[in-house]
Amino acid sequence: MSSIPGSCTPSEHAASRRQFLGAAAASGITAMVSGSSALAGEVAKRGKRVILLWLAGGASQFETFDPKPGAVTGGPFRSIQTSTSGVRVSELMPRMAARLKDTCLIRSLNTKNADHGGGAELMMRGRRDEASVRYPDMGSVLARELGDSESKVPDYVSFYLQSEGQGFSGTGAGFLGARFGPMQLHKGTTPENLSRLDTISASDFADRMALRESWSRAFEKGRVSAALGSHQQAFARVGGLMESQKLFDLSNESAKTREAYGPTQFGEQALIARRLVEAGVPFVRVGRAWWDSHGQNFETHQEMVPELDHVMATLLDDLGQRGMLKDTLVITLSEFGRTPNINASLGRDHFASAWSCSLSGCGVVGGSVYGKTDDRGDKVAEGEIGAARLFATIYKALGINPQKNYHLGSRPVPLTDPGTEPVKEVLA
Amino acid sequence: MNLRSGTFRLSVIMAALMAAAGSLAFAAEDLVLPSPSLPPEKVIDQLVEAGWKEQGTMPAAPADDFNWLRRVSLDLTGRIPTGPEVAAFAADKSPGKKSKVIESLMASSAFVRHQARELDWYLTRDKNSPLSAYLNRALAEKRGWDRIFKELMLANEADASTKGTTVYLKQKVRDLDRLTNDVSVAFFGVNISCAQCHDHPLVSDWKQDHFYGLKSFFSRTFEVGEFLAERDYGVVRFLPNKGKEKQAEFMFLTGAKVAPPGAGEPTKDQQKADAKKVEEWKKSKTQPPAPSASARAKLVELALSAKEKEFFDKALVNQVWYRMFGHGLVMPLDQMHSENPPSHPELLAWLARDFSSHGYDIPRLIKGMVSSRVYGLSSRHEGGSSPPANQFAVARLKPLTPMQMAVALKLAGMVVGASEVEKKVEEAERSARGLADQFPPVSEDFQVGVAEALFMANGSRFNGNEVFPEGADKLLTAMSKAPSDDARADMAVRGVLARPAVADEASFIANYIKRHPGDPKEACRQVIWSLMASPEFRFNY
Repeated sequence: MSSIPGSCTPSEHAASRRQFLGAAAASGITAMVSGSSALAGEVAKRGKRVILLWLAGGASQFETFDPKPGAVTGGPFRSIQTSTSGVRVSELMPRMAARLKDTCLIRSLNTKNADHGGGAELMMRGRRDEASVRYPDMGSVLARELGDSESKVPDYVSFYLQSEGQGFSGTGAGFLGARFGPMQLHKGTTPENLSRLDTISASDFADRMALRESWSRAFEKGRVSAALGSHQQAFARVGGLMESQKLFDLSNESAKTREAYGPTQFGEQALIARRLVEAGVPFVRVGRAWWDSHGQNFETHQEMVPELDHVMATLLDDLGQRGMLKDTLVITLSEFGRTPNINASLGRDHFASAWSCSLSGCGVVGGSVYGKTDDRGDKVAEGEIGAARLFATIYKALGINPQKNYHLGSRPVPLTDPGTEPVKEVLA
Repeated sequence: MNLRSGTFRLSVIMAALMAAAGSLAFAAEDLVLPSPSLPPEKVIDQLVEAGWKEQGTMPAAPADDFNWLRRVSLDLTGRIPTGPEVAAFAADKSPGKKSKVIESLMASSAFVRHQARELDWYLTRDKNSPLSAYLNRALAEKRGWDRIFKELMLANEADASTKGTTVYLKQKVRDLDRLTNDVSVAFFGVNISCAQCHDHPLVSDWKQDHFYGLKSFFSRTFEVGEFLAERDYGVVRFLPNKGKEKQAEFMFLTGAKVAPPGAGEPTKDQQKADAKKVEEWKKSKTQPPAPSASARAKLVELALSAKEKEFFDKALVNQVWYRMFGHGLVMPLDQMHSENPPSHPELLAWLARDFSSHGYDIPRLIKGMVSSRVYGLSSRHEGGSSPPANQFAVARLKPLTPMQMAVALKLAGMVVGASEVEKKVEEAERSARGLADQFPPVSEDFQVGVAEALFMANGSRFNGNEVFPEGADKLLTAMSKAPSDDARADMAVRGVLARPAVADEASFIANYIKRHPGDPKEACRQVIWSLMASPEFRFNY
């Protein structure tokens, strides 16, 4: 796309000796999005899916993936041996410990932003918004990259039912526009406007849709426009999307499977997520709030980590049994981790300098650990990465080139910040 | 050093101002322009048609009267025509009937409201229209674009006539880089954010010096509580891509410079005293006094000066052209520079000259465009491939803005009497806000998402009284009481799409109603829905 007059190359921005925070693209007036396409990646990414387990509020790395028993910062819980020799996790995660074979733990995140709103946006977008560029979140990017324009299922579904922290959800399609935004489930596990109103019968509903379709076809004659095409496509998808409502209904699932995931809201949503990706939804986020344990960190984690352990292990088992794990990436991520220091209320506060996340399944080296924190968990000792490299790694694992450009007006905007390299050690 | 926060350093007073040798946007002086006394619509037709001849382009046929009336109503007043307007226009056989409609729409209060709303969105990208009160006043009083620019830059809240202007700068002042670029895009048509990090690779016009030069004019502006204040000193220093840290000059995009306004940089003691004063203003919640010399006022003066005003003259012309024709004379809109020439250089130069020589009269600019034959072409192009957008040989589809969509839905549900058009339009606008929030803002790459289609198909808000009200003056009621199915069909199509039903449509609709005999009103509602959910309704075509 360098033929666009006035375009600059992204690398120059990376090379700039100052932090690039510039205002671009006129508050989005020229949000002409065009991606380079038809490359090898287009084949590699086919059929890939993502489930993001979003631990809202900030889960503690000490009580999950990076325990420090014995250290002053370690807290009361022990660590246990995992299925990978030499790798230990918190004793609160026995099931994941036994099935680490599909999972790569990343213990070396330094993301610098320890504020709920900013942290959530950073960890959902892989970068900070610029003054006048609203970046799309991971789900919207993947909806665009992995979605099918005629799909009968949604492109991006996001569950976040707890009221705490809903304002910090970090989701949003940014400059990609509403077309790629999330179907948000904030109130219940049934999406809005997906079911037919009682005031109209099924046959009338179909009839009036057919009548609409006939106006549409007549109008399209002799007119060519992408916006017009999207209108027709959006209405054409209505029927399929309404059908997809059954995916949200767990009564269609066997009792055995439901029991395996457990009766918790988190378990049920994870199961819905599996049903959705199985039906072709490219990206599902399951939000579990609220991990913000400024007080009583250990009680909070004693209650929440076993649930995470159970749901995550069950989900991976289920995906594995269905042969879906090689094409489905399960991400466990928060907006930040928690402080090594244990405060007077026996809590841990916000901490973004040395924390953990995990990637399982599609495209990653299972049973591995990347990066290391120091003995007390104060700092990253090895393999430090920020949000940008994590995102580049995620995109690469899905067969998407992290440096692929969208265009905002004439300015090329790569999927991750210019020059960002994926972490090779994590990638299978 | 943190350059973002705009650090203030003692400045070295510039000894000499270098002459601006930089290349201007487009060399207007080399173009041969039609006579300035011609009416704008004639010049538009003449120059666009010349392009067709040169390219061998076959333009689309003229849009029919109903199509044209709907288009011009949406573009001028933001709403679809009402029944009486459609009927009157069809009945009028006089040759000047289009001009009459344009005059009458532009004289209506909805014209000011719609144009103010559009300008507000252009300037702030905030759907709550924070500049609404000011812009409505400014447009109602027919203030020129130059004056609006000046008033927004000076932001004098104390003066009743410019009350409500401060929000423009305040919205952006915490990020001076954004403020600099936003002002550059909105008023000069150029996005210079590339030049923030490096000299522009393709545009010899812009170096980092230009970005930081323009930023200098804003670097003295800051917030004091709810007020905006400006120091009379302060310069921007930046670390160039190559070489040592530099002090930016007060420089416009053209390279023209001015000496730093004010009495020079202060001593440390003065700075301390100033900081104290700021604290006092904050505490006492008082408006800080104006600086002895305002850098922002200098920018206005420079940008509007005879030698430098080409950027200013052209930016809004291109923006309004884009809004009326669905494609700019220069695309992207924020790349109006020497390396990205307009599709019709003479036309842009002529319109810019006309705009500037007629007091930056926005209504005149709009009127010229909508009065042209080019504006009145059909959006349908039969046979062969459609000519490229920049030939303006076929009208483009423009998605309705959230307010246009909501007002259209409201108006479509009403039966409007000939004497109450203005009143009903206001009523529709007032009740449309909530509905407008359900539709996404439009952009150059706009696409309709499934959420919108699902909302229209299954949303209780969309399917209830809000969109299908009943009553003596409502479409649904009138339609269900009509004497025949043919009459119902015509009523529905006229009410929703602002045109009579064509033969096929009338029989489709009549059949539909016949096939749903159980509840005729429900059948009518479904027919109205199908028309509202059609692309013909969704777009200004």
